[in-house]
Amino acid sequence: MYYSNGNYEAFARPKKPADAAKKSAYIVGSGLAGLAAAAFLVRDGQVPGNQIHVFEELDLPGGSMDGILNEQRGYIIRGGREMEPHFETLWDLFRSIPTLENADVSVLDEFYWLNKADPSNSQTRVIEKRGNKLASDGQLTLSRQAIEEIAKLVLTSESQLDNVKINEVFGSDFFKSNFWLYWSTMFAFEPWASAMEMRRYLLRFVHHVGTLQNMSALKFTKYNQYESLVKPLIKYLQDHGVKFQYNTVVNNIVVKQNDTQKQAVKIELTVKNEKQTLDLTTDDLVFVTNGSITESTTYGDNEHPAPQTHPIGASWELWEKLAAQDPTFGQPAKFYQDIPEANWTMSATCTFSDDRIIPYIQKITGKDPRSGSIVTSGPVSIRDSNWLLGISISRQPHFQQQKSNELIVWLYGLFSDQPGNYIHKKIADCNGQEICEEFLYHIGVPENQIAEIAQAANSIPIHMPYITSYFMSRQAGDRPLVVPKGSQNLAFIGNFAETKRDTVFTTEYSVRTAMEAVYQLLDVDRGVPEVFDSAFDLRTILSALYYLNDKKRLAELPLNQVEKVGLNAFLKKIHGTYLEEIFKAEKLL
Amino acid sequence: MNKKYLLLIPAALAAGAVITHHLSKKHHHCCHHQHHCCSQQTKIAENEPVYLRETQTSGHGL
Repeated sequence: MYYSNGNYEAFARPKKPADAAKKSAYIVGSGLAGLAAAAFLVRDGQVPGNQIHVFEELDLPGGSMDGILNEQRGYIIRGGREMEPHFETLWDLFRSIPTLENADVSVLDEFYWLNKADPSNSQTRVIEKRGNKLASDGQLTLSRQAIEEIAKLVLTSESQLDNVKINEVFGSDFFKSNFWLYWSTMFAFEPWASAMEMRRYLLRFVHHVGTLQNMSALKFTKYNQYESLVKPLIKYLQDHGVKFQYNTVVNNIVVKQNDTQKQAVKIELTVKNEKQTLDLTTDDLVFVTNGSITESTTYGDNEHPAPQTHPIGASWELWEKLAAQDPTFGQPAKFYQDIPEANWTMSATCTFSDDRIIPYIQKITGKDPRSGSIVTSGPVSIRDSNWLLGISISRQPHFQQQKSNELIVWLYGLFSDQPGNYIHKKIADCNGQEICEEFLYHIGVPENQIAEIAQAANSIPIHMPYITSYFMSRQAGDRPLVVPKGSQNLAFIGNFAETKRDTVFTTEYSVRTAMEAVYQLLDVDRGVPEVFDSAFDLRTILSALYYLNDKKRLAELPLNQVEKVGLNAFLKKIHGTYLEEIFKAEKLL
Repeated sequence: MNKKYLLLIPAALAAGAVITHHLSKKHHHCCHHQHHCCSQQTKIAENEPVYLRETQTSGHGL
């Protein structure tokens, strides 16, 4: 496998790999990674679809990709993934997947056209004091020291950040900045999350520093991601004969090892409570989704909190069984044990059927939520919320079946260990109505109307004990490589497998690991698109510097006399050069 | 002297001054590999929002 960039490789099709027709594939987990692996096996590996088997513990596919209309509970969104144009492998996949409505239109076409017509642009990113826009909203408000700390983290080698946490590398200036508020709420970083992961994000998304304030870089699917991404992908795979086996728990994969090679030789599984085994040869490829952020999710309703249980569940247990066989298969406990009490674990989906909250939404977003356009463009965060509540309202309808009078609001609270400001309970202890009441309080609904509106809404609290486990502080080796050294037929896929430079908690990471796994195990002779290279682009770095300083030119930076002398000498040196042109283009001069 | 060198001398002096300045600066409150090195010395008051106060914890409660 090798990485590539540019159109030459992007538009090329690989030749059929040797022995492709002889291969069978067993994919554990039908989340985006598993589905992508199946699609790459079909499209690029040219493995016959009926030789590809997907095992899924639940009775439906999609993994963490939401949402669903549950007949008993109502609309449920656990959370959506933010997406951007430079998810290179994701778009490489979805260019080939037809939409359900029109086989001549790809999912990428639909997405592209829709986001051209209805681009993201957040008018209010942060509110406080019950529905009022934060006075400094739109500015990153980073001090010089905070910017230096960002630069220091970026310049630190990843190898020096083993087990280091974010609040060990940044000081109060940084945390008090809007940058941190935007950053943490957009990506769900807690202060004790991995500094290694934070560094990857800083580099991976450096081209978005200038859009953190308005989130204009984000792109959104037509409906929820289950309907707009997962369902077309399932149809594509079914049309190609891929076999899906639901209610199937993979308990263990037995790996035989010698000094240089590792080979999966047996799958032990439980199908509808019946134990089975499957013997494997080297022509049988195994792709394992190890770990899950939505494992053991529980749901409440308007009157009941979501049960606070957190068994580790089948995906983590399987990873433990594998890790016990070989140290290169990672350290799963690092991600699911000792999850801090304050971590984000709760979200809620509120469905409103009347118009009473519309004016409050309009006041904050400047948009009519019934217009069919993007409403919040990612989250609107509530700075003074004890839960650090965030609000996200997608294009309505968010579900194909949604009625025209229904408005769906997704809420999440990044801090689970504190009582709310209006409801004096921890978010995890609240029923749906109470979470909704806390939300209504913060958007400025008069207190005498809060209970009545919340009672009329249908709010589903959702407890996800492992939702931030991707960001637990970690060290090299805690995640297994996509294809561990010496592995002949076993690969790890999804956001707990390790690939270079890319960032977890993204759809791109799921698809990338799937693509790399298929290309390696099948020896597909085409480049895997590399992680977008903005971190190596001088223009992007300079532009980020401009925006980190809230659009200040170099001459406006707070430099001391010595630094000013140095800067002037530098500017003199680059005068009339290509460098000066770039500095000017990026508004630093 | 060549004009090229005339430009380089002040640039080198300035660069040297900047490096000396930074090396002589006291190490600020952030450092890697020391648990809560930053948070122990931060100035985040009790009346700040929860998300700021939580930066001083390890996530196991304020």
